Amino acid sequence: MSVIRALLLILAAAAAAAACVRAVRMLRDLPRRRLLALARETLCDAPGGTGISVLYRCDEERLRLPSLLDVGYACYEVVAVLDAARCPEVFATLESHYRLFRAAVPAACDLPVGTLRGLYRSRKRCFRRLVVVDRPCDTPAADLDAAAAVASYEYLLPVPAACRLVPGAVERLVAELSLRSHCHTVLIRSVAGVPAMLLSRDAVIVAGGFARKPWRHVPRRCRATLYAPLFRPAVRVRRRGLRRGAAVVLALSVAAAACAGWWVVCAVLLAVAAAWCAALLGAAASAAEGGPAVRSRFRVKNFTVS
Amino acid sequence: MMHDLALLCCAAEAALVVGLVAAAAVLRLRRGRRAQRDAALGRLYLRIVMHGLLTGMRRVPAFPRIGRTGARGVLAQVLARLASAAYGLDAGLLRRIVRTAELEPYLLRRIRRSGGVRRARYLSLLARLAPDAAVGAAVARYASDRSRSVRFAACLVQLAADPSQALRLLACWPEPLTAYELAAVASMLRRGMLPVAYEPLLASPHRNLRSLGLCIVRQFGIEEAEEALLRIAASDAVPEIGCEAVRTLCALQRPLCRSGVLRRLRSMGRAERRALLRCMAAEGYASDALPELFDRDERLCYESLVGSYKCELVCP
Repeated sequence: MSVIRALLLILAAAAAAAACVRAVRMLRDLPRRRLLALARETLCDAPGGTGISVLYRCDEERLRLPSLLDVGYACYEVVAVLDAARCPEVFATLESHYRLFRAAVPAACDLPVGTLRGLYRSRKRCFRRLVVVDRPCDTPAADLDAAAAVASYEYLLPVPAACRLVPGAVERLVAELSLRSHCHTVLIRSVAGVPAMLLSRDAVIVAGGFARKPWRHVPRRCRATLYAPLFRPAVRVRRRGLRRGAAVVLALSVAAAACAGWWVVCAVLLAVAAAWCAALLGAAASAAEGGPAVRSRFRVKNFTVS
Repeated sequence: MMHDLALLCCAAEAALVVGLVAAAAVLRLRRGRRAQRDAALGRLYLRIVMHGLLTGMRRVPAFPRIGRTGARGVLAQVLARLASAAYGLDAGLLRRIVRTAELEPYLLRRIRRSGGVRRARYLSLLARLAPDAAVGAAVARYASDRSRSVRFAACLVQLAADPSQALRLLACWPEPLTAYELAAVASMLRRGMLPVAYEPLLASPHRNLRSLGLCIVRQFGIEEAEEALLRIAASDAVPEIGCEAVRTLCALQRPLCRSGVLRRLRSMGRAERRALLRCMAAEGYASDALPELFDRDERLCYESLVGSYKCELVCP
């Protein structure tokens, strides 16, 4: 019994320490974000030729393509995987809106692509940013492999389900890659907001595809961790009442455990509270940099001022 | 013993929870009040500066609430962002605004009192405000800071203060410049703060100067540098510089069937060669333009890549 209590205490202390370290790292990331935001013009010419391909599975009713395409960085593209046979209306809308033309499916690919019905590229405003892959609905890993096989750039960023890109996320990733160019970075993991990771194409090819979890084979010296969010949930459900209720229940539980003299239970509950507060701090830190939205009169989409 | 340890653990965790909640509350309050105030003040100052520039104003305009806490920082950010996003601005008016609002002493104080990335940020702001030689001398002591971002930002301030020392400062930089740092120097070139002379850079024995020369050639699309690029691709001792020279030739859409390029390609790994193939396909090189550069598998891969960019006229 005392062994179990000791183990619980150690776990609680470790969880609290991890929450503290994470909170400190998130706060330390704020000045770095401000520094990189100041030098945004440094990224307009694609330093080092760094390019990012965003891999997107179109498996929901409302597509997030406009927000994914609304990125000003030059070497950037969105590769969307869609089953045109299952969603013909969605595909027809994409085809007409982005003026897609059918291109030849590549015969030789580094990754297994399965059955590809068609490959389409956008010619809207003569801008090759959107690539649509038409293939039968499959597992997420297989869809990502097909998207990676036709991607043009070195780095791949899979989009988590039901998420949208945070403004400035791509520029932040490019800045991190360019700052580390002397030691080749293969994986950048974001632990703030929705977890996401940027992988180098070679890491995925060497592992044999996304199904083999290529991020596990990346050596530590080629990894980097980002304490800034890259994606946020597309639909935000306000659950203030639920959160406040849970906080009250947690506080009462801690008080009850302390009054009853169950200090080990109290330590575990406080560790849970510390982890929750660290997540709140991370959310507050990422919101602090956004600032209030400033509406401008000029709208720039794909380098056309309207 | 267990009881005491549990008590200690609970006390430490309770203090941690209180600290985290307080930090989150402070951040939210700052976002709510200070960010809104700074955004409104920034819009106002930007409008005043733009009006002064567009009307050719000689005297320095008045900036409301400039004496308040943080207002000078907002003005410095507005001027820095304007200077970095525009070209050919009236530097005279900007210099007069910086002098009248005493932005340089303010930023130097901030630099002295902060450290790490915050110090680098204030130095970056200072570098964009066209500092004079006195400011360049004042920040020289940060050139030996332990943080690389501070050292580089101090170097940028010295470059902006005295452009004639650019070659010496970059040649003396002890580590290889990263792509981000090269792009930051190139952005100063685009603003006209540094001279654009790529030939001495490409012929320099210093690695950083050759990297900068390649960056300039690529960003400004200088096709006349083709011979120098071929020489670097063929014989540069640093593999990264040689590969970068090949990629620069590709970005300039120059012919690649040269012995120098072939020599460099033989030293590249498979991943680098595939990356070069993708760049070439994106730049529009024809599949029959490079018979001897790649082996049969790579040529097949390249043909399929090129085909994936073309409209398929006959649908299956």
